[in-house]
Amino acid sequence: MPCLRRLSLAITLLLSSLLIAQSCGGVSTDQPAGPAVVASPPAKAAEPVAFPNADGSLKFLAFGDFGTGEAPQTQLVRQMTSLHERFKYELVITLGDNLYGTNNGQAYRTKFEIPYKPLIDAGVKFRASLGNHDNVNQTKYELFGMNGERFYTFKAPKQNVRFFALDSSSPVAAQIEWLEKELKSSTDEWKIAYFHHPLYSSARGHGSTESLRKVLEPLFVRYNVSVVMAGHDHAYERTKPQQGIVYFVAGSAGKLRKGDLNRRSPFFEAGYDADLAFLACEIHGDDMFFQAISRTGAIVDSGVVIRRKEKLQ
Amino acid sequence: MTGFLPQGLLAVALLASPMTFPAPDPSTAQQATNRDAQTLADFQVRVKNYLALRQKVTGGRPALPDKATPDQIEAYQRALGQSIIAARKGAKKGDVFGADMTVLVRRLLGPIFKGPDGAAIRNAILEEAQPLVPTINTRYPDDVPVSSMPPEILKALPKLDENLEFRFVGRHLILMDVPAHLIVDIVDNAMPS
Repeated sequence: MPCLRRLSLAITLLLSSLLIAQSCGGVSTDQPAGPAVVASPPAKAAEPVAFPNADGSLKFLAFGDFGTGEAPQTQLVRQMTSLHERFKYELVITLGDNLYGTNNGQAYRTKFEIPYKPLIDAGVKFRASLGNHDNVNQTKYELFGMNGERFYTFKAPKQNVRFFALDSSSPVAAQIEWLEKELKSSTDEWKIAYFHHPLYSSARGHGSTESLRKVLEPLFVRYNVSVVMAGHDHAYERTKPQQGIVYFVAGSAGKLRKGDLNRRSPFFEAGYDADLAFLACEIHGDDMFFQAISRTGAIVDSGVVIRRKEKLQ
Repeated sequence: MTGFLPQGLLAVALLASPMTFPAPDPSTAQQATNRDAQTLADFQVRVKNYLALRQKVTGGRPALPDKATPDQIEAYQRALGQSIIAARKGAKKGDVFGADMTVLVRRLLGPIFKGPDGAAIRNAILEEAQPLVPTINTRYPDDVPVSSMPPEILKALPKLDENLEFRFVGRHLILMDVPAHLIVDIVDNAMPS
């Protein structure tokens, strides 16, 4: 049944593309790709991850707003560690607010190195982005993998996936120009942007960062970004695709604002604001499987994002 | 010179154009633009002087590696900050911005805060604001989050060296030394009430 659903979706997409091609008399390669699509997961897992969990796929976690050093953060890490036993993710992208409060040497240890020791010891690499609570000198911290840069891009080791980490609290012109240049020159099938301030958020705490959206969204649409991940709001949310892009907020890996989501927001698709959560993802070909997992190990959202694809010539 | 002209200055010139004021003297508008350009150029000179002083007091210090430990990061930042604070002992508010730039900053930002998106921009900046009175030549408080800087605001302000950035503390605009985590200078009430 799930296979049939996927097949039906693929046919619908193909027909849509053909219709667009017919009505436009062909589409140039300069045109943005078609929308990303969210489909149901292939099977309902009893516990986190029954994804393909395939050899050679890119497996990673995404979460933000975590560096408290308090018990809830550590309890969520236990779920991450447990997951790693059966789902060998190799990468964590952080969505900012990596260290709350004083960013002294002790804070790096108590709010990051000690809680995430099992993952660090297992060889999981962190690639951080900065939040508004973060001291910029975190860019120099070896385990955050930023190599001294406030914004940077990197490619997955073996897969056709490129990440763009931004510093959303200070979107200076140089950063926006850099982003456009990098997005334009990237030929990767998957482009994923991540940063702290969400362009779309149904949370009442902060909500959408509209001024940033005006600057970033046109670039994401034009250069075929399929997925954008952010934190800042202390809840989990997935939007309906906006101009073809799926936006995630995963800002509850250490802090939580219970009951903060406005589920009547026009772009709200799924969310969880009852407990801490993180996002586990697997990119396998054109599909990005995802599960949002709570502090108790419950799957609170799941699905598949099918990446944006070039329209037919 | 034109490389330093922010978008806001163009707006200043447009606001002073014949379309806005009746029977203008074109030479007056030109003079205002020239004056603002000079103010910006003077500001950049003072910024360069600050960077030169910074380089002088920190020049012999080994750079922080791009793959540092937490203790290296903290020691470097504290030592850098202390050296700069000592070298600028007696620094006064306005030493870098200057009186003319302070006025110009308020004039550039005022229309943005009063414009159609002004409320949203103000809210974005103030969303985690804390009751803090910034003091120049001191360390930015460790437990206070930095403000978001909406793109509209950054576009209106001059470009800065990578070691410096603009932030808000409440309604006050601060010039911040990023690696040293220091408040270099302040424009009081750059955000209108």
